[in-house]
Amino acid sequence: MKKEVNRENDLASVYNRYVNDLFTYGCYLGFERESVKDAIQDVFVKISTSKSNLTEISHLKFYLFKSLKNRLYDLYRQKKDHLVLDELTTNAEMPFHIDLNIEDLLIEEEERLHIRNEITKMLSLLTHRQREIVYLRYVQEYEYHQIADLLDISVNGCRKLVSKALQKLREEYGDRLALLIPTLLVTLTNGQIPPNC
Amino acid sequence: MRYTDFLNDPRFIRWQLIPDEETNRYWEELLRQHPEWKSEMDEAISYLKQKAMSRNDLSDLEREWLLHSIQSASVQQKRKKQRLIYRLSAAAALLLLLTVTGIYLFTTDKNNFTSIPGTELITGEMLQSKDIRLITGQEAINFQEDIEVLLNEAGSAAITQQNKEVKTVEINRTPLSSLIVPYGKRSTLTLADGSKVWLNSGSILEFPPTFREGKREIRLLTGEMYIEVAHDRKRPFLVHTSDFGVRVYGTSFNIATYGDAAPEVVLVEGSISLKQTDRKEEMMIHPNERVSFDPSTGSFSKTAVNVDSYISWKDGYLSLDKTPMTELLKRIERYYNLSFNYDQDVNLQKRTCTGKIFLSDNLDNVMTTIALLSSTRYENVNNRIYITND
Repeated sequence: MKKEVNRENDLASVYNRYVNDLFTYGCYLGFERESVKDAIQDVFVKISTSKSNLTEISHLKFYLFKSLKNRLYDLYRQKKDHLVLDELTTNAEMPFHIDLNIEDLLIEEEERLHIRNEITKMLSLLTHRQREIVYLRYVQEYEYHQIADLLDISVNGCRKLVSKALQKLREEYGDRLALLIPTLLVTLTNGQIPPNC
Repeated sequence: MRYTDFLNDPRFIRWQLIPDEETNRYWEELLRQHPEWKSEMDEAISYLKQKAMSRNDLSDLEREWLLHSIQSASVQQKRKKQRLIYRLSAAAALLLLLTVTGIYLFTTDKNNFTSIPGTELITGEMLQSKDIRLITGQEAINFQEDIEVLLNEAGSAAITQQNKEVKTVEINRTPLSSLIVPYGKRSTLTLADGSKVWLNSGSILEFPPTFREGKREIRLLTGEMYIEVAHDRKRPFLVHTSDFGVRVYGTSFNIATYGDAAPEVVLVEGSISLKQTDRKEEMMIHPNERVSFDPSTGSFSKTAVNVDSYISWKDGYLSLDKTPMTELLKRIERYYNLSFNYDQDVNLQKRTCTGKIFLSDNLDNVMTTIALLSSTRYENVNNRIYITND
């Protein structure tokens, strides 16, 4: 009986630790907030009623991300008969949108708007999958083999997508960086602050 | 350099999102020359990761409620599993029964409560009481006692407790507002069109401030409600549940969709039709008919019933007609927020009750009536309830 109670506490603390990240991931995958909440509930109920103890699951956070994505896709497939054929064929690439949140930056409105536009522009140069990889790698700090698992592609395929994304950003921003290096070195030797661009 | 200067630099963002050797070299060199920028740069990185790119608009209230739903759904599933285990191993059940009775005899000795060895027993515990909650927009208002909510045509709600107005609340349109009635409490809600809803213990209802043209819709997320729908031929009334929808043609009916029993609808008067979510076929129901839904097969089944025993809770009494003890105790659990433990007993559960029970505020009176109707004995020792065979 006591063990049971402990497990409830474990569930609550695991929930509190990861629910924000899970909710954000579900929303970025393009699902309605209510659907994401339903899916999160299903994932946690399944874990708490299954025999395996929470502590026995290795890479718990990854396990939760993977379960959430599977559950969301199940829900998506259940609704699929309502969609037109057209939409089905293009679902090879599920949407992935990163909503920026920089409202609390303590700077001038104008500068804030500029930062938002710049980052949004950069993210929009990437494909949905590339954006998802960047989010999982940079924000969630997953290893490539885990990301490949989440996207259901090979590790090699995953790396290829990253190098294509890098290529794209280089085309757009790379030249400026290359040009800036000599100027920067000059300014550094003068002990000055490099200009923002 | 401030951390915002880094965020304002696309070269920095690019390096952060997809680093490569070239950019790594550039920024490492920069830090080597200016070690004093390190802390601001670290702050920029953590802001970008944890704030800017981790947009999260799950409110504290939603988070708390979601955890609550997870925990209660888990408990219900576990209970189902436990019952199965008991049924499967009769020997284990017998052993447990003896053990429990032994402890029971030992602990209640002082209270001068004698019992025959081998007595069958159901125990009950009172649970901590929870508040009724009205959630609209980002606001949650708690009430310790039962409430009556009256929506007007402008979309604001007057809340009364025992005929005294206690509060007026503006009701949000999106997201839908919800009224959460925990176990042990009841409430009523009069909707903007005049339709009246009685919510039984353990229910959540989602509703809009006013209805738009063409359609009236509410959603019973869980629990039991009785509704008298105001007649309006131009705007059909729809009640959604997780498994099916009810379309109303001017009517009153009872609908119960607790997680631990098959959802059911009982029609009192008028006519309604049921339709499963994701299906096209509708099933018409006539007065004095009860339809229950089997989620495992996804099918409805219809029986003729005496409606009084299904809707009497709204008037504060239970009308029983050969109602199984387990069914009755389940209703008492919800109504008074108790938890009964009857997994170990079989014969007591087989008993049935016939008659009327007034659901008064005095639990002792209620339990004494139940004992009388089911030929059992009832004792309340330090808020722990014991039911034994007579």
